Amino acid sequence: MSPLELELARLIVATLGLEVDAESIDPKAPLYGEGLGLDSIDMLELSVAIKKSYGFQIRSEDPDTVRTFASLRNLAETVEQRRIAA
Amino acid sequence: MTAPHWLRQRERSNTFWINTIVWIALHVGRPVARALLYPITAYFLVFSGTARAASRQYLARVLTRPPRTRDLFRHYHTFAQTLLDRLFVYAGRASLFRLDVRGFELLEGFIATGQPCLLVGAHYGSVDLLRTLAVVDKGLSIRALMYPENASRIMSLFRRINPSLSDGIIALGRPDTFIDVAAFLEAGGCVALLGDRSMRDEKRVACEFLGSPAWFPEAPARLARLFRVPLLLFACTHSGDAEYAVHFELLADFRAEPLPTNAEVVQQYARRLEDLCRGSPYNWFNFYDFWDGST
Repeated sequence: MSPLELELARLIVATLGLEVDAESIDPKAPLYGEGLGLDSIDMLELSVAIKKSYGFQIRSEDPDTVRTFASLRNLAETVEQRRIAA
Repeated sequence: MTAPHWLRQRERSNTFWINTIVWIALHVGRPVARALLYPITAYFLVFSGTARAASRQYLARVLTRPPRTRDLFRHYHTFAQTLLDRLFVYAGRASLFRLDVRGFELLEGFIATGQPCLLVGAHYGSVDLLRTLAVVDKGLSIRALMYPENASRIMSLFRRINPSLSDGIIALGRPDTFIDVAAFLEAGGCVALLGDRSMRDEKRVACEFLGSPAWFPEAPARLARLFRVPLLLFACTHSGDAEYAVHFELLADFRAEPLPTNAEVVQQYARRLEDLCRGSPYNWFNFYDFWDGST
């Protein structure tokens, strides 16, 4: 897990009050549904938290939103790109 | 993920007959179409075993006596009437209907002051008439959260009649569904959703409803809490030929402490829904095993 992935994993665990260790989240496992078991409202809470921490808004008209939320690794890539772009 | 029964259950809609009655309704007239609802209701009553069992189960609870065939007929017939009325609403003939509106000033007040709010309804009465009242007549900006795949045949027909139907609808069931909800609420908008059908993979609350526990989605309470907005209950009860009673009330307010728990809010929703059902038993349109306790 990269430092950013770990940072995001901690953000996810803290935001959603999950009962798992941030370190134990598989960066390649799906966040939504199977895997971490998040639902779409969890995704919303997460996007609000990401906006607060990294200053960019994830929107559903972005072509790669579904991909972004597919795994912790993808989410970290998006944060990396968008945060630089911002 | 397996879809729940109400999502899998195909709408029993014979395309030919539906197209015929649509044509009759729009070209011959509403009275003739209404008369045709009697044989159509009888047909569906005879040939829809699962839905009939669900109707019987619900009516036994709400009427607190074994339902007779005429009760079932009335239940189906009320549903058929609201579907037909929907057609006229979509065809731009909402002025045909008399609406007795209570509590609308609550919603108008929030909108006037730019206070975002969340509206929660049910598969009860006619949600569409309300949408027309709010969106078309009053020009209010309200987004609806809906499952797009449900009832696709009948929806594609309605969409043919009124292509603007998909405007303002946010599709549920995708990971990014609620992201737009956030942007819309933060801009002072109102979002409406139905709070009586739950998916197995979403967070749910078991609530007392008409005598025993049933699952209700936690989503309305979670969303209202996340954005700290008021949560309003809305209903549009079919109360007679071309007559509807529209009702708004404040269910919970997440703007000020102390905040209620999600379970309390969802149970309050279930309790008020039960009151509505007891008052107008034939307006409940969940034709599947609502008290299915499986997890």
